[in-house]
Amino acid sequence: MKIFPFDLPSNEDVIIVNASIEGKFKFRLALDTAATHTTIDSNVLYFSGYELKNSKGEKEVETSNGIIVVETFDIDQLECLGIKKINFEVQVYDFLGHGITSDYDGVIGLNFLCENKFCIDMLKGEISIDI
Amino acid sequence: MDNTYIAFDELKKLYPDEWVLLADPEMKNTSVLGGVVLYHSKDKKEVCYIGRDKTADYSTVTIAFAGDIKQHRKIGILKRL
Repeated sequence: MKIFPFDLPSNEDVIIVNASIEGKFKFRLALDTAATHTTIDSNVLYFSGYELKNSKGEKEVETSNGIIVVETFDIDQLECLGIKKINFEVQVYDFLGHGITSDYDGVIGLNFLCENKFCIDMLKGEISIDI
Repeated sequence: MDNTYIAFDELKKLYPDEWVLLADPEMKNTSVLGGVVLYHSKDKKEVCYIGRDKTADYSTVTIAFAGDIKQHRKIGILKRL
């Protein structure tokens, strides 16, 4: 089992976790157990060496601000919370282009975590994952 | 830009409220403690697009904000339709 500590300075904050693409490009995602799919910012995807024209296609996604259209990509290697996924499909959206500037770059959703047992301990500020 | 390691507190003084592309970042949990500055700008998109070509010689890179973000909208993905 691996333990990942997190901070929640206020009740307006979200749980942030580290992630990496190809083991090189480090970024931060919000852990979102209400999200069915993992979604990352298109600018970060481009930064990580992917060409945005190589999208697999579009999907409609329901968000708290209404329905948006995202692109889908297969990431060669996405790592987060000690879990490494190969050829993992992510949703990609231009958050910056839509006026959403944040200190994290997307959300890690249930499709990333669905093969693992994990526990979010809000009292200790820890995420434990059986790997 | 040279290969000098700069601590994050110093980055906030040098590049206040800018997005900074860092190579070989030192991290503690999800916080960036410092790194080698490869590029910086007020515009995160610019850092992503111009910075991409500056990372080839490094094994790890990240982008950090040297300030406190005033966040009005949160990313909220619910489900695929």
